[in-house]
Amino acid sequence: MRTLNPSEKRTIRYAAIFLSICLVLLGGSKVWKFLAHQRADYLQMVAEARQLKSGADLDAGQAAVVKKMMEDFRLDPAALSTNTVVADASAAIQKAAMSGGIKLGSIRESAGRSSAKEMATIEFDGSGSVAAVIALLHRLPLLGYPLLVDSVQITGDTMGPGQMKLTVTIIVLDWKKAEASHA
Amino acid sequence: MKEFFNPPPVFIEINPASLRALRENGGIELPLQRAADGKLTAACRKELIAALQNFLGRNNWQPRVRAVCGISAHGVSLRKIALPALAGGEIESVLRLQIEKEFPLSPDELAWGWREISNDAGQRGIIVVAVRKEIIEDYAGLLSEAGANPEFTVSAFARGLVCPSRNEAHAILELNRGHAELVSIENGAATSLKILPLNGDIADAVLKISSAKTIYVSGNAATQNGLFEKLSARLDCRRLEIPGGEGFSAATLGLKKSVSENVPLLRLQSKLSPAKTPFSFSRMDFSRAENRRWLVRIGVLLILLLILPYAEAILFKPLLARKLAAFKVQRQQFVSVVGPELHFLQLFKQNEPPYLDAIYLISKAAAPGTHLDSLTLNQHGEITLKAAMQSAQQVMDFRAKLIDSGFFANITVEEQTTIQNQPRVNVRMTAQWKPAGSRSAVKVVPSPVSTGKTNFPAAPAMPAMPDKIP
Repeated sequence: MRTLNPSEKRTIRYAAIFLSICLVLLGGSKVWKFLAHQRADYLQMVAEARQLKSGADLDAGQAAVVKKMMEDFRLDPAALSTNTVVADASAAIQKAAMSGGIKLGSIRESAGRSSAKEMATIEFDGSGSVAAVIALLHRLPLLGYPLLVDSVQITGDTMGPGQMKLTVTIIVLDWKKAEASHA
Repeated sequence: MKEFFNPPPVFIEINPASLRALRENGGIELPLQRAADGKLTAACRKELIAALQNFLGRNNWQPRVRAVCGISAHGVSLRKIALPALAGGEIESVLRLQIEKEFPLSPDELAWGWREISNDAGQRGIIVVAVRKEIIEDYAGLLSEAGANPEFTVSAFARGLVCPSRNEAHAILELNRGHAELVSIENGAATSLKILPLNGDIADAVLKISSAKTIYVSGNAATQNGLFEKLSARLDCRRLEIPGGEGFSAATLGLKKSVSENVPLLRLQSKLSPAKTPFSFSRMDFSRAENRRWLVRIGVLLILLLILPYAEAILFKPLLARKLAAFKVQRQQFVSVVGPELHFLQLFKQNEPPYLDAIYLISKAAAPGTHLDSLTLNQHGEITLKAAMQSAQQVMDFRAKLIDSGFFANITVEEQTTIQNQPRVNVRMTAQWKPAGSRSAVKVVPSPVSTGKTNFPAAPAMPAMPDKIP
């Protein structure tokens, strides 16, 4: 191989420097793009995290509302069982009526309309004092079951003054279907 | 912990032949080797830096140690200058002019300092002390490399602080093997500073130069050649008692005292005050190691500033992604439970019919003597009432009250029958309660009449039923 003269050496040196600069620029540009991409992703994640944090604050508010409503109605839907809720609700109604001084008459249970998100209908007759009747009406939504008083009929009783006869129709709501309709 | 970030100062006395350094726990004494021009030799300089670094025991990350240094009187000039009364800010500029006049070098070539010694009406007496700038810069460079932040004064001034009687006129003679220097002090300020020849009779020279009646003698050669006795015979000559040990001297102890008692010493400064020196990057001397180091630090900080946002992204992105994924799963679970429950409970609340409100309003509207036959209400708000009242007027009043309550709509008297020869009107009415948003809120006013005993302890807010309905 022949020896390179100084001019050729200089040309090669310049070419090598030029190529090195090109390679460095190319590599630098790739590295820069990679870093910029990483940073953009990271900033997007940070923004998402901030959004989630504000969402979490809303969730905390919702949880507080749910807790307050559950306390107000003394009702915990998660603790209810679809198999026994009608029987339990019926027993609770009777117990509440009797302990409040209502003499119970007939009690009829029938299956509810599933299209109307009803699980069952309970109808009962009873008689008692004005205070007992009003107290029972107040007490019914607070028994811890999803009970909706469909109708109330109060008639003057022939048993004596201050006594009333009461006919109440109560719907046991199908809370699972109500919840599913939300989802 | 405080010492890590604020290390205790070091007190240094630089003599022609030795360097003494004193710190809290002890000191060192290092010999100096000088070239013909008086500058330290390179080898000596290197050894000094290493020895001082070892003595200071400073880590690189710690701040520099404050070094209060006293230099010997060699090359130091002291002048008394009288100036007219001037404002504080102007005095330095006037002094510069005086220095130009009094000293052989310009102020820019000197390290100099000044102190006021008298302030009579209209005139200020000032002493100016100056030394060639190179001398101070040479020492400053050496001490900087050793990790110290030096400030300079003249050792002779510091010795004055260890004298028992500072305010009386006196002189201090420092005698060491290599040199002897004499400083005269009046009213607490140095008035003259002399180097004494070692080859002649020092006692005669002292007596010739100083007019002070009291002379203090210090230094490790103070008791040699019967000098002390010679001086004692003619003057009140006292020995400055200095504790033994490396680093201890009248100057180092005086410097230490100036810091501990916060007594300001005349400070030699080789630069103009920073506020008066505009920064110019082009005038920066990058051949100096210190400046190069600062330049590197600035460069590193700039690179860090550029890189950190990207490094943060690369380092924290996987961690953030994991946390986000975990949080999303948790939130999904939470929403799947709470959302439907909230929906159901809201539905339950909205559909709760206001039976008690309706009954309460009807009972409030009924006139005394009204006999209720039947009352039917359902969840759609339809109300049917059968009752017997005493007159048609009562029926009208009853209806009017129901309308006024704002709770009911479509109040219809479907049938009204007056019973002949009896104060009785049988009536059948229907009504509809208004939707939740449009009906008036019911204000329950408890009846003063007892509602009778009940066995429901959990119903305290129950409205009281007036006794108008049987």
